[in-house]
Amino acid sequence: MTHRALRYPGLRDVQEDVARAAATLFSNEPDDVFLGADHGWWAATVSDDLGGTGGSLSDIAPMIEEAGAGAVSSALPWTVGVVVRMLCLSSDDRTAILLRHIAAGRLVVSVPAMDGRRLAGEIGAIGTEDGVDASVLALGPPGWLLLPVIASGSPSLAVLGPDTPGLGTTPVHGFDVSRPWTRYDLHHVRLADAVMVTNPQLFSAWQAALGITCALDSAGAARTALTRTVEYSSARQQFGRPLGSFQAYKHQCANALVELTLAQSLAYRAVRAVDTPEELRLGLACAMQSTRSATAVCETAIQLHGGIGFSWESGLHRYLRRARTNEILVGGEVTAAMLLDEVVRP
Amino acid sequence: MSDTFETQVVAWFERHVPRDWPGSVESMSFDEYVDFQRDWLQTLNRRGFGAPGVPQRWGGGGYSLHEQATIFSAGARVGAPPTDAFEVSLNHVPATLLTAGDEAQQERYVRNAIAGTLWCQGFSEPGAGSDLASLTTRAVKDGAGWRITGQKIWSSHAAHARHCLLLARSDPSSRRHEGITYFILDMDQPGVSVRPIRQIHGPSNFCELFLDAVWVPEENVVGEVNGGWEVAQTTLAAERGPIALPTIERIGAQLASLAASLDRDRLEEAPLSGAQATIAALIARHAAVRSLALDTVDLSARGADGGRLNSVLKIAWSELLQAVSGAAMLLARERVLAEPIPDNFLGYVSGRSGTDWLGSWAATIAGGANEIQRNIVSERLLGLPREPSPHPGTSR
Repeated sequence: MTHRALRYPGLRDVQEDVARAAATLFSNEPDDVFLGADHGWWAATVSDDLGGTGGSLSDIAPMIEEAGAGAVSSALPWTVGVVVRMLCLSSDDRTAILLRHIAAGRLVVSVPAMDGRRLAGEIGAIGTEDGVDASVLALGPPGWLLLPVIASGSPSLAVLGPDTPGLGTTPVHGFDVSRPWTRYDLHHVRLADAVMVTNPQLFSAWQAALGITCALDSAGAARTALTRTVEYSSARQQFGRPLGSFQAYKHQCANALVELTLAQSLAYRAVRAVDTPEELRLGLACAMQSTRSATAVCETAIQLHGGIGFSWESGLHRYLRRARTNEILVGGEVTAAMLLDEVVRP
Repeated sequence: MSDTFETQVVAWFERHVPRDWPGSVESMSFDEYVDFQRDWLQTLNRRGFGAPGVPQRWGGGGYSLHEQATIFSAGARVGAPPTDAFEVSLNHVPATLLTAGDEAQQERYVRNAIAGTLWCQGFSEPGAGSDLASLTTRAVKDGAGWRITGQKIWSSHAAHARHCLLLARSDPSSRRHEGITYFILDMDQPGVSVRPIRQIHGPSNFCELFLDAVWVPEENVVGEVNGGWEVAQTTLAAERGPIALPTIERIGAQLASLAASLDRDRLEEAPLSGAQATIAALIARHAAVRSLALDTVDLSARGADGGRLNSVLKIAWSELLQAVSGAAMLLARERVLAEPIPDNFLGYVSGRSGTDWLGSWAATIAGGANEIQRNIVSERLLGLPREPSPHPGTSR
């Protein structure tokens, strides 16, 4: 069984082409953080006048899913899904320059692991003369950081470069082995000179954008986990027959396909809802559901691979680690609270 | 406000749904409730909403799949009464006869079914549930027709049905699906007796059906003699497509209402209560199940095979219903303990959560039990080895 068989059946032809191209490229260089940049993929949703190709998230979404399917280190998912989207909320010349660099693949920006609204709340409201003290675990290599803050009373993102006075970085090798993580230590970091993006709905926009990114990434990871499980179910025999011929085994695979299908369907529907009135509700819903469903699929994959599944060497754990990480990034209480708000007060 | 199809449909339902109908139904007898549903069906039929997917020539609405989805959703959102007594008449009868029936059968039966003639289905038997192909009700050729003897069970609405879609074994030497014939049985004859069976949530909507040498004329054989199994597949297919949408929409409406009821006095920064976390998770899951249901409509409308997803959808929505009605019940706490046990079925999501929760097992067990659906999903979608054959040497 090929990966193709478990793809989301609602992909348009052009999306299938994108997915195939991404699968090939990602399989060659799984550890390259900048992968996809020199193909212009990071520029996909940046407007033409800033050096991009002016496409929509729908065009690039299968590529984000493929990054998860390969559990690759490329920063493409959060660059396109979150950083570019958030910076496009600003009409500041300096964000335009940043977008150009990002589109050209010269710049990677890290995003904090903590929910944006919660992180900004923990840092506390910042005035123009205040310095920020914080220790922020972020997804991405040491370099630039996108920091949610409440600046002069408004939800904002500060874009902090590596030369920012008071900003220190340490690589973190932790739970998610497939992506680069960095601890950013801020000591009296002044925001007065930082590039800022401000918007009253910023934190919910952030949550939905990161939610859709993680949903797609997780759907990809889960697809690989289930594909490998189906392959194993016929390859491995015990008691004189393939594992997949035992009904208990079969039914767990069926449950996993139900979860995978739900994860895919909602993630791609949320992608189609971007820039429509449904964007927030579906973005938050897929943040919770697609990530949780994907974790369930990856858990099943470990169990159904028996002893092999428990070995580091099999590599299956990379998908489980990644899926669980995505769930922690966006599938928690902040998203749940925002989703309830959105349902009760649309 | 744009005058889209959806806007028009919602407005129509808002104008025509009877006020406080659940309250008036609670005191109705079974017969009165059937009449109430028939009246509502006839109101729906004025706009073709009763059988929206059936061509207008037969009394249906002739609507596209997307329009059908809109109609089902609107009715659910506005809380329209069900047409549950007529589910076989409106779905299974046209699906079967318009595909496999001859012209005379179509003319004689389809329009009347949609107009409100009550039909039931005679498929399952005490010894043949999930394994329908093992059925033993016997059909013997007798002159210009057939004499049929046997017993059916779980036959919904048989107590008041005029006609029955019936499967019987016509080749005595066959054991599985090769020797089965599909009949239209006239229920109004000696030899037909019906015993309602009370369901765990209160209503007695389904029945045992005893057939003692009942008569079916030759012209009421649907399809080929001994070719009934293929015809039955068209009946079973009637349970797919946009039909799950009304229930899925009602689940969404209930979740929104539960979320609102938990919203009082919630401070912006306060941690979520357990109840709020549960409801948020169910809202997220509902969004995914609804998305999947709409995907199956999109795929079918494109001519692509929605069948791939139908078993997945069935598992997902039925188990969501169970989870949501269960959560609603726990949130209602001791108040639900005073809910009376109903005689009439008000739909899967009636708002009486004790009843809804118990009734949800109809969704997970009927229409192909979820264990069978999991076999289908793993075997036909994932290609895992099929179950061992019950009779080596014969086909399954």
